Amino acid sequence: MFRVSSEHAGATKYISKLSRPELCRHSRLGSLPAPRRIFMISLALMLIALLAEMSCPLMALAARPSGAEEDLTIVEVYASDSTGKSRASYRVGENLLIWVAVRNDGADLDLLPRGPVVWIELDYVSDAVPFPVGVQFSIQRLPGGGTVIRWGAGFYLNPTNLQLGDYEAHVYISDAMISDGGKFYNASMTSVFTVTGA
Amino acid sequence: MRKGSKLRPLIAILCLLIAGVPLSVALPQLSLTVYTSASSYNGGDVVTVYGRVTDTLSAPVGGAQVSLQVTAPGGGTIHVAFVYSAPDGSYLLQFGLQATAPSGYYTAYATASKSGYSSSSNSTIFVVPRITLANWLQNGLVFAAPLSVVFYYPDWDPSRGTLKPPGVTVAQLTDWTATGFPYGASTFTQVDALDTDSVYVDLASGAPKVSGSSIIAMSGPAVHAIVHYYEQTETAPLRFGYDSTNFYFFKKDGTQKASLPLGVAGSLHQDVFILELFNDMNGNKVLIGYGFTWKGTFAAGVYLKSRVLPNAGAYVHAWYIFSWVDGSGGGAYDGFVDLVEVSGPLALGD
Repeated sequence: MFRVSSEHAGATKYISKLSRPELCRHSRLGSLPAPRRIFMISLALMLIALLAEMSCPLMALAARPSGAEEDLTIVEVYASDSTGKSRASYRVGENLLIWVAVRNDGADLDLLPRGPVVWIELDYVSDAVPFPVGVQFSIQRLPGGGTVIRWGAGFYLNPTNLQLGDYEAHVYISDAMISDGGKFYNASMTSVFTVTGA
Repeated sequence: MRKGSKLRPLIAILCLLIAGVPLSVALPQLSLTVYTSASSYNGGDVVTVYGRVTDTLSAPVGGAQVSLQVTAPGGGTIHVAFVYSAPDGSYLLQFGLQATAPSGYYTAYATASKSGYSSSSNSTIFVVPRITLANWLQNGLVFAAPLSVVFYYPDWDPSRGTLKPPGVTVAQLTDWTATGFPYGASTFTQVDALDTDSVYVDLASGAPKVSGSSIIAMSGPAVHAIVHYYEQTETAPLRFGYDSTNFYFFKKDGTQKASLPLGVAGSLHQDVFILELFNDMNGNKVLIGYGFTWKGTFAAGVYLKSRVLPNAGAYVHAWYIFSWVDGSGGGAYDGFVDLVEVSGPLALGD
């Protein structure tokens, strides 16, 4: 299990929702004051509103480490054939499905349209260095409160360019595409299987 | 109640808000470099992606998470991975390219992140297939189609010196001599252009305006806008440098590959020169050759014509560094470049 801080959604919403009603309540308090007092209070409220507006996005950034945290767990990663049967080996020419189940025990993780991104990479691992043969991703909301999301990605075991041997499926979750400045949460679980001749 | 006491809560809120602003911008910014072990690969090759994570003071940051995404021509993702930086800030990731990897430009995007820091992103490009002197010289230079090769010369005219980008000065005519060797090796009529010609060069940056061509530039970055551009943008695999005592050649990641004391190079009887070939972002294949002084640049031309071209198949890498010492190897100490006086390569790579 790994922990992820809710860096984008939670803090920003909290500040933007609460700051304005607070200001409204202040402006309705008490009996009608004298004109000079009204001017001073108005001036003060304008300053507060201005500073609150300026500091909202900055405070959201600063609140990352100490704010609400979400618990994301990759519950399961496994391979199956197209009928849903999970096996230890598959033949070239088959269509393979890699399934991932992610549980979010924290707050909703909703960074749409940029993320979160669930990635599945299929690697040939019989050599010393992994040879990726396919990457698929899905951008989807991960509801919190212990909700489990399942997603399956299809891979064709192409006989023309696939080597026989051991394969791994790796799963990652990121807040956005890395090419868009995103970063992975420290999440990866591996499913191992073998690809054999037809 | 006194007037001041009613304002106290407002003043307190104001103070809190004002105090909150500097706190929120205090996160230090990470910095991240991204390099690949070569600028081009063949399908089936192993790609090494490496770099360093530092803070705003250039101090190494260990334990930073480095996220990687590699995209193929057309934008599809071929690899994702993450790794933590070592205590010295370095990181390294390796993966293999499929044998059927399509030709074109690949981009490795990386993001460094760590709690307490603002994250940072960077990227680098590599190309499939592999480009080498061996597989390029004949078709890219010697028998290249008419008008498909652009020979860029460093402008020598002081009246056009201001047309060069900052950091590049006018050349001397000695800086032109080496270009004659690859020019003479061309079978067909090709294009000549000055590095101050706005038809062929973006004068603000020094970037060539041609695409899908062969580019030849045989001078150093101090006088040649094109070479300066390719080194500044880290497109060229090698770059020139100097300090108060030495001239240097560095790999673009900063690794020192060769050096020579300033006084020794200034004698014009000893030098170090490079020959490098690479792809730029506009589909050009770029050949650059030069030494620390004009004599070394001349040696690069001599060596290219007399040693590399007749034995092109032996030069199976993209860049080489050689040494020339006048009078060495049985040659005469006469200021001319004899092939026996050239030794090396001191270093080579892709």
